[in-house]
Amino acid sequence: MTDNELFELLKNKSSREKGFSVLVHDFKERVYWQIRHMVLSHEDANDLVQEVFIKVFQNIDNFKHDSSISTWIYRIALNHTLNFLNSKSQRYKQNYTSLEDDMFNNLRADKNFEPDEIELKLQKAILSLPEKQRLVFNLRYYDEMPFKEMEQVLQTSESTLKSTYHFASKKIEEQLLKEEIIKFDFPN
Amino acid sequence: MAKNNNTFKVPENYFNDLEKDILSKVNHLPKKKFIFSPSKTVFRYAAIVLLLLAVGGIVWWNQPTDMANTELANSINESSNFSSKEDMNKSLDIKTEENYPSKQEITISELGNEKPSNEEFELSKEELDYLEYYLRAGVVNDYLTYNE
Repeated sequence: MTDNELFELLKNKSSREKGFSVLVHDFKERVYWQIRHMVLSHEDANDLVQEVFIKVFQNIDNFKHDSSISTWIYRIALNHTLNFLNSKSQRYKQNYTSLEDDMFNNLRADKNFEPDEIELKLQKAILSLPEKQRLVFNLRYYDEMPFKEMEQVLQTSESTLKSTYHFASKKIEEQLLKEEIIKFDFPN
Repeated sequence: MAKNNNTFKVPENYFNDLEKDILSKVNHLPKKKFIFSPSKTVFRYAAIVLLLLAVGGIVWWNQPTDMANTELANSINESSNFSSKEDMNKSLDIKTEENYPSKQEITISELGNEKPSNEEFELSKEELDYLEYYLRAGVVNDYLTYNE
């Protein structure tokens, strides 16, 4: 189903439920992984992905189709995830541990995460990145999102995103070198 | 659809259940009701207008109106048009030697609880004439001193 056909289904109230069902079917996995790579915990990702789709359903009337449906959904998902992480980090400000340390410790104990040593160190390195760099790195490295699409989702220029990704990759490489993991190839 | 070295896992059948969960939650959402909810900007403008109205009202209330101004001017004019000095004193309640209480009255009132004596003064005609003369001349004190 094309983007326009899906939009038409969602716009008409009589066909909205059918359209929404198609939308959930098509985007649930990508939205889930996008969120999961940011929050790491399956439980948090599960709650957030459901909240995101409910938000999408409630805001269908506000969507003017000035971008593709996928861009609109990813943007909602990213904003929702970032809000979640920000409110969580606010709570951690009063504690001795940081949110990132806690996320890493929870990840190690997560039964839905089966890492080898390299992957675990990669996750630690990703968590040490600033939020924006982490976001761009995850979208590019894990979700393989093209920079053109990322530009629309994050509303940041393509060149800025490319340099952000480049800096993030360099930082991760340096950290992995320190950990004596010499070779690690990142896609450009 | 995480493509690169995804070591993150999900429970079995998770995505099928997720779809069902989402659709059932959406079906149970409460129906939207139209509620008038003006934006913050509207509230700000309304608050400013109300504040201005309140300040304006207070200023207007405390300002004398034209009618009150006229009445005030007339009363000043009337009070300044005295036919004589006595009228003016009476009107403005100015105590002069003439309408001040006599020294005797003051002395009696100063005595406090002591009752004034029942003794009556009997003045001769000549003394009354003098008294009248002295009162008119405004030298009551001299008269009282004389009598003492």
